[in-house]
Amino acid sequence: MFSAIDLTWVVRWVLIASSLSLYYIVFSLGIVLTFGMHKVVNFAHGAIYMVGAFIGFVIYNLTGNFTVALVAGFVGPFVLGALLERVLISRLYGSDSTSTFLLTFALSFIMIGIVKFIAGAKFRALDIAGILSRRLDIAGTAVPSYRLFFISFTVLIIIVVYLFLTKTKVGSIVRAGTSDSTAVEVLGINVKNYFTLMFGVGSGLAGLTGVLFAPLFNLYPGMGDEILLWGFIVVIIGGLGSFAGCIVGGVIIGVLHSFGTLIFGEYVMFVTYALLIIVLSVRPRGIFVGREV
Amino acid sequence: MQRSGLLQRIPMKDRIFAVFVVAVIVFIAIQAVFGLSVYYVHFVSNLLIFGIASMSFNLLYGYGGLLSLATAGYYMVGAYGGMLAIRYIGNNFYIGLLGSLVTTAVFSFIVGAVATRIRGVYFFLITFGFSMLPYLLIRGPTREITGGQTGMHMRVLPSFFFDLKNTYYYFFFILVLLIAVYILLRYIIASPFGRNLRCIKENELKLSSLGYNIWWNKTLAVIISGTLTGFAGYLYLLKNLSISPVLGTYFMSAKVVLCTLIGGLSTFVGPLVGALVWYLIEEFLVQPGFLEIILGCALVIVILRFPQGIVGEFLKSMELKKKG
Repeated sequence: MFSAIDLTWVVRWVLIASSLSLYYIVFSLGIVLTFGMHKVVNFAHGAIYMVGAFIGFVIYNLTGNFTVALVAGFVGPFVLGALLERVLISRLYGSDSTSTFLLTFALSFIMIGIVKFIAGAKFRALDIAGILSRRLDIAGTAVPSYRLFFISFTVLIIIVVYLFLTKTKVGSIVRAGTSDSTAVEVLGINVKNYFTLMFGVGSGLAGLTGVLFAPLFNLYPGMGDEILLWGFIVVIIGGLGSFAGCIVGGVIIGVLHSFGTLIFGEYVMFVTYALLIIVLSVRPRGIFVGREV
Repeated sequence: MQRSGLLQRIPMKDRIFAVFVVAVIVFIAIQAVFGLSVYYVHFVSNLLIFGIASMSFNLLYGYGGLLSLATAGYYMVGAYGGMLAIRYIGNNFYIGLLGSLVTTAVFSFIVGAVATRIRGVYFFLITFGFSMLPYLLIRGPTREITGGQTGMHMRVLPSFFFDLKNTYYYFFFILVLLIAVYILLRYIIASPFGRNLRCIKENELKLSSLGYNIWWNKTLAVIISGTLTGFAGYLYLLKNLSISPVLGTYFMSAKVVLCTLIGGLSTFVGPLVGALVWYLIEEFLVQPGFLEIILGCALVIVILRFPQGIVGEFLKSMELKKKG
């Protein structure tokens, strides 16, 4: 097998591994942000991802402009997430995390139901046209330009989120609120609005991931289930609520699911589960829990 | 308190269960007497099989406070374990049963041993992770023996003391098993182990400081619940004769959680009532998406307003009435 290693092969697999890792990271980043202060494990994250993908699909087919689709795929889920947090989820703050989890679980059901009702359960594909549908030549390999766009755009998202959390005032309030929300309230800051904001941003990221992924895969109401599973595994390995953990977890799972298939073949998921079990035995709360950012 | 008759001495929740069973029997008897098609016998049989799975789930969540999302995994392992045993070892009901129970017991032991090391949020995330394992396994690497995406079909029914093909016989068989599982679960909850389990929900620290092994009690609960769910999967296999990986998607776990919460998690009848609600809506509102929307909204209302669910709130109102 290793005799087959040449530049083409390397370029192809590096691209696959990096785009998969980035895909997992951006999706899980949303889980981390919504988890944030009130320890909400957002089961509706997969459903919001699906809603975002469908919004992007509709907008793209209406306008033919992918930028507009991306913006709509962020803003729609942002509003949806913020609204749900303000109206429903915030009522359960203070009770145990199981009830907020079950509430988001119910919400995911409703969202999937609504999309099924409107769009039906059939598979759809977003066929992207224009500059993003070309094939570029890198080191003798034909690379779809969309893949390069996907990689650079997701890297941009991660950098923006990182700068937002570390360099802005809102970000520092959010980080402070995550570790001790009472102390922040004592300082005269209305933490409630920041909770809503972060829930909105997290949901927006889910939607954005959905739109970004739509040209690569089919759209259907249950599309959020599998990515939700991997997203949860990423944050469990990295540590719930940790930015760095999310990156590390995303890279681990992404590399495992791309390069790992070369070594383990279809048994790669057992390696994933074995890794999960090992991490949880050694560090039951993930690799990076308790660290800042 | 005044001396009460035999009926009064039976707890209200058991009376609700009895009403449920009698209603099912009457419904089926009407079908039989008027010689209607067996469609609704199948319908009720499916409902009861699903009821067994949700009752076993409630042992974990309602009584132990362990929200497990791995139901689909156990159900699928139970069905496939039975199927593989029947196909490759011997075409006999008991061989299949043994295969089904052993594989689910082993699988649920693995899930339980790992997941119960951790509490709260992490517990249900881990069980959610494990719920997809059999699905991915059967769909992928083991497709040569498990049929992969297309699933497996049973051509010859295993030998048993009655003809499994007879819809009415099989319905009564499932009904008897449902009652047996109900009694078994009630017995387990009343046993010392059951008390430990309820104690874990209330105050885990206290129990562990009294010297009980929390890990083993939790794992045992996962094993019992998982094995009973696998048993339900086996009954499903014998009823429908063909199985496919769709059985093990997370939808099944979600369905069980939803039915249990809507029906009420403080009793074993609750999940049955929830299952009834689900099946009725699924049967009569065929518009795609309606089921999810209605039950999702119902769940939101239950979580925010009536945390005890249908049966729990009913029992509460009965208590209030008794007090006057």
